[in-house]
Amino acid sequence: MATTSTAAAKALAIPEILEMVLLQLPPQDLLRCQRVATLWRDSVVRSDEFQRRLFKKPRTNYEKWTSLVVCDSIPAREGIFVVQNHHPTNLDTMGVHLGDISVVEPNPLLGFIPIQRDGPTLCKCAAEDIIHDMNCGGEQGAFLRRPLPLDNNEPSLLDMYLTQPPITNIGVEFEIQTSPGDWDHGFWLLNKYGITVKHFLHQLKIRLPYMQTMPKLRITFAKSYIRMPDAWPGVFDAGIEKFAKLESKVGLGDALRIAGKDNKHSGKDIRLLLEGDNLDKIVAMGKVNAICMGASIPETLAEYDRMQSANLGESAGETVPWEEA
Amino acid sequence: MASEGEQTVKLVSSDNVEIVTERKVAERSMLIKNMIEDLGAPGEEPIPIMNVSEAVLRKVLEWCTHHKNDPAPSQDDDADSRKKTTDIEDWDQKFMQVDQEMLFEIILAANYMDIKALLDVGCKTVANMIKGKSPEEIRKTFNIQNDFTPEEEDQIRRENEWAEDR
Repeated sequence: MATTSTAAAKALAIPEILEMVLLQLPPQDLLRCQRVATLWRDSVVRSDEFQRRLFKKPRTNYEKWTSLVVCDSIPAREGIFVVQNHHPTNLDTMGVHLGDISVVEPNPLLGFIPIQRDGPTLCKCAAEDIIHDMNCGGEQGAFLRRPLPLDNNEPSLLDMYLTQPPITNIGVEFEIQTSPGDWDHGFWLLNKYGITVKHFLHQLKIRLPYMQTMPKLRITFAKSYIRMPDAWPGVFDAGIEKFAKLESKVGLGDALRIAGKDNKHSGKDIRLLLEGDNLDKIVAMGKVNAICMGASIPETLAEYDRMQSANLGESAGETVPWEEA
Repeated sequence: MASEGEQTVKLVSSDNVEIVTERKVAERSMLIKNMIEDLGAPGEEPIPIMNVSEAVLRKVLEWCTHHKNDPAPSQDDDADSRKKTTDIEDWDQKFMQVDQEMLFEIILAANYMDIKALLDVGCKTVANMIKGKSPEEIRKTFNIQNDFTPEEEDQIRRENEWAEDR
């Protein structure tokens, strides 16, 4: 229905309107729209938001939950991968944070096909599924719908991150005979600034210098990298029970906050929850959580005591008394 | 003094037609809302809507009437919009079933009159028309001039070739 419209050309020549239209498009269409006219190209190239949507710039406002609070809060939306590790954007820490769960969006332009695993699947996001999965150290794996071109040097391909937020470690598995009797099974790829197509292809070419096309391979999204420590079986059952009690006492919002939804050191918070016998004490501790990241429990308590005595009088009505642990 | 809901305002379109409407309806437009506040005496002085013709203004007011009781948009809406790209409510979808010229006239009017929600619906409608189309089809549909040099066009096509049919 190609009618000649003057209003259309006029409206789409206004950068703000054009941008609002483009913002509604999935990445595939966004790429194509760059070829319509220079204004269209420029508005895609010059906008950080569009570059993030095309996986060229990292998205850092990520979604993260601790194991205690994931329950139903991870959206059951199509096409997300749930990975459990230190958060992709948390570049400095390579250590285990017990219970951190991240959600990453696989780059749709690369055509990942998630591998269905046995047992409960993560994306249904019921609490028990996730706990089950964490306890057996399951992995989120994926195939690529089509092999990536090996001889394409276009930055539009090479500079893309594999996921958003950019994932920092992946497993690449394949089965290739490199010489008689010698098989290559794959490699781990780490890049603390986020893995791009370039990193991935570069490593693949080093491992398989004679390949003509990309072999069929399985990509693992850094999940088995960190397993639940065996010493913590049952930790989540106890934690969830505690969380439910906490929620009934202070409401969901505060309970999430206390359990450290936005806290990098959520593993510690789980322990806080477990160790606090007195629920009132946990509730009160939540109030100092933010300033005590990384602190031990005794330190946290001491800090809370200090704040209490400093504020004595003004906030006496709100404080929750407890006995010394 | 009459309550705000009963007050009326006079708008004048670009082709000089006077339209009387409920103040609450007209105030979906931030442009008009601000003008009314500046004028101080709504209902007496006609408000000129310089860039919008009668036909388009009536259409825009029809939308405003239907949406006059909508709650003000919250801050979270922007963050959320990425996930529900093409969700347009049924009434709006029907409303937007107009010829293309009118669709873009409405978008231009919504932009000029500062009616964010209407602009949003309009842009979503246009986005739905773009989806799946080739650059050439998009240009044809919207009468857009291809201002790339042949070299530029070739380069940008090459750059993004890999992404087709993935």
